[in-house]
Amino acid sequence: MATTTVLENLRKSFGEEEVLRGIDLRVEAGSFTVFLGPSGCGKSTTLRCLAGLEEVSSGRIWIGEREVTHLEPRARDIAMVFQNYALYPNMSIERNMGFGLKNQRVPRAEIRRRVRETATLLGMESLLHRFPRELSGGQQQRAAIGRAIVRNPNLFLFDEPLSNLDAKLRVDTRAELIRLHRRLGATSVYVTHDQEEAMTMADRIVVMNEGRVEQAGTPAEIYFQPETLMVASFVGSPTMNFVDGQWCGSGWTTPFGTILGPPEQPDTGSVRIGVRPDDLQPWKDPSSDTPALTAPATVELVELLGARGIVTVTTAAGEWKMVVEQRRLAGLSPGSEIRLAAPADRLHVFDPVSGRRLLGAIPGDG
Amino acid sequence: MGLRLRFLLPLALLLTGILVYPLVFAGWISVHDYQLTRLSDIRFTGAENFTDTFRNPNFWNALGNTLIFVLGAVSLELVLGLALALLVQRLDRARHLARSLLLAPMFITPIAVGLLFRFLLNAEIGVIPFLLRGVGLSIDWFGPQLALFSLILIDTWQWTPFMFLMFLAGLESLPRSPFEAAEVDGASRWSQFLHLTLPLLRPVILVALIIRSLDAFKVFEYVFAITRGGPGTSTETIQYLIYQTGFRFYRLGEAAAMAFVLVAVTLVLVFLLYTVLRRS
Repeated sequence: MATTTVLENLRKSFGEEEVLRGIDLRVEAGSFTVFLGPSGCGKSTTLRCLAGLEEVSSGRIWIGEREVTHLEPRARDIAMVFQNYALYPNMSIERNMGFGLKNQRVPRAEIRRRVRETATLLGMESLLHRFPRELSGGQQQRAAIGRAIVRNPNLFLFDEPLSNLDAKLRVDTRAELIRLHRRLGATSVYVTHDQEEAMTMADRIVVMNEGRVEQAGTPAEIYFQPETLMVASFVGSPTMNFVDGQWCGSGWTTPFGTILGPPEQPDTGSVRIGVRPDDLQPWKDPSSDTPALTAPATVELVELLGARGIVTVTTAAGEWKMVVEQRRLAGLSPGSEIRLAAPADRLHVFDPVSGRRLLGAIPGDG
Repeated sequence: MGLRLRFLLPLALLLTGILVYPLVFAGWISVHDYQLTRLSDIRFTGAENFTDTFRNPNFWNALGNTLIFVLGAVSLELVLGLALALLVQRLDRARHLARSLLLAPMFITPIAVGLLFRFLLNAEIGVIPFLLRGVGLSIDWFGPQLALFSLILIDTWQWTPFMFLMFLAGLESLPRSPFEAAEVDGASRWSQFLHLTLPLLRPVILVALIIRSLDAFKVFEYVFAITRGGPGTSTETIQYLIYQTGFRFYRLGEAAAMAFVLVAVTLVLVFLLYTVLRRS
């Protein structure tokens, strides 16, 4: 059964240190919501408050119709998957998976049936009689996921469940989790610091920073229309390039010349302008229309990734990066002088003081 | 002689002097009629000392007393030690203070503990019987019915801290996350204790039980300081009987035989304990 979960002005302090500074959030029924942020941003603490493993300092938590703020974890009807699996080392996988049902006093035969059913769903029937220490990391995490699924809870909580797995397994398990989510349709909250995980898995990403929600939105909104400088610089790899500018009537004066602003643009004062490395290109054809941003640069380093390469250049605004298709890398060798260009609709303009977005790129455009 | 052997030599000599020689000597006297009062007349008697031991009702009485003592004291210490450890683990700030205070009894020499309780529990002048009389209870702690039980209580007082220390260290080293998972999984505190804490603590419990049982088998000081085996032979433990036979009646051959029987009994018990607790 899918349930809407609501956090209302959630605050949490450890002693003097305030780690959650008022979280307001609505997790829609059946959605897959990912909390994303750097370490120490409060995403795991928020999840643990949701689970009831941490007592909140103030604020309220609703799961479905029920306020659960001060309920014990066992009264919340949730299931959680931990980063280090947290299987019960003294129990077989079958008993691990059945433990929650046993606590709910489900009849033994019913427990057996549901555990087997879940094991079949996860393709791990043959592991049921084994003990956690006899399983690989991936199998253990699968068992932990099984233990969560078998309970059929209102809400699934995932605390960085893939970060202890190796890269290939992580990608496979990621896909499997999404398939499971589609199939079960349960509301899931997933914590990660890995933006690739967030982008690929989430219906909705909640970017957190210093105990606050920076932005909540679809992966496309987060990527193409970051609301704050923090979101802009945290999401995307390589990270966004920035240059400071000052409004001069038709655009912004920057260390490498004027960046053209949109027509009819009122005075913005000082700004910080961001360009994603994917949106920068070497400008080779001066006869075409002048792009909004052009800048002279010196190539420092070319890293070929396969179909694309990351080119590190030095500009008057410091070191920038751009992502260039392999066939257009010709002529870009360390030391060569080039001009960079980016179209107007790819510029993100922020207020450097508040960090809020002023104007810029539109989601999914072009 | 190789360099390696030469390095080994001092330790080998030392071990021979303090371990092998006494052991062999004890073995030798256990098959002889060896009495300190008749050192001029030492005769080989074969297994006679052993058969005498098996026929000696005092030996069986002492063995029985010792077993009751070990069983009673160690189980009380196990339960109390575990309960205390679980309680103290819950404390936040007072934990270190509680830990140090609770350990204090362990640092007192057992003979002093024996003397202490001899006075505390004395029927005429003891403060505990005096206080109990105040509420209308008249208990003769060292009477024939209670004496052995009183010794068990004294041992419990002194050695529960050891169990407590072992279990607290064990509890503190348990991984945190399975317990969090169990909480989310709907397990009550009792269920967590039964299905997680106890099984995960099993190796620590095993070690603590073995150490404490072996130690309790050696009980001597309390008996020596308080009851001298009495009233009658109701608190005569095996070590005390061996001491009496060997050093008060000077029949060292017989005492050595008893000591070897005790070693055999102890080894069997440790083996049993180990197999029972290892089976999981």
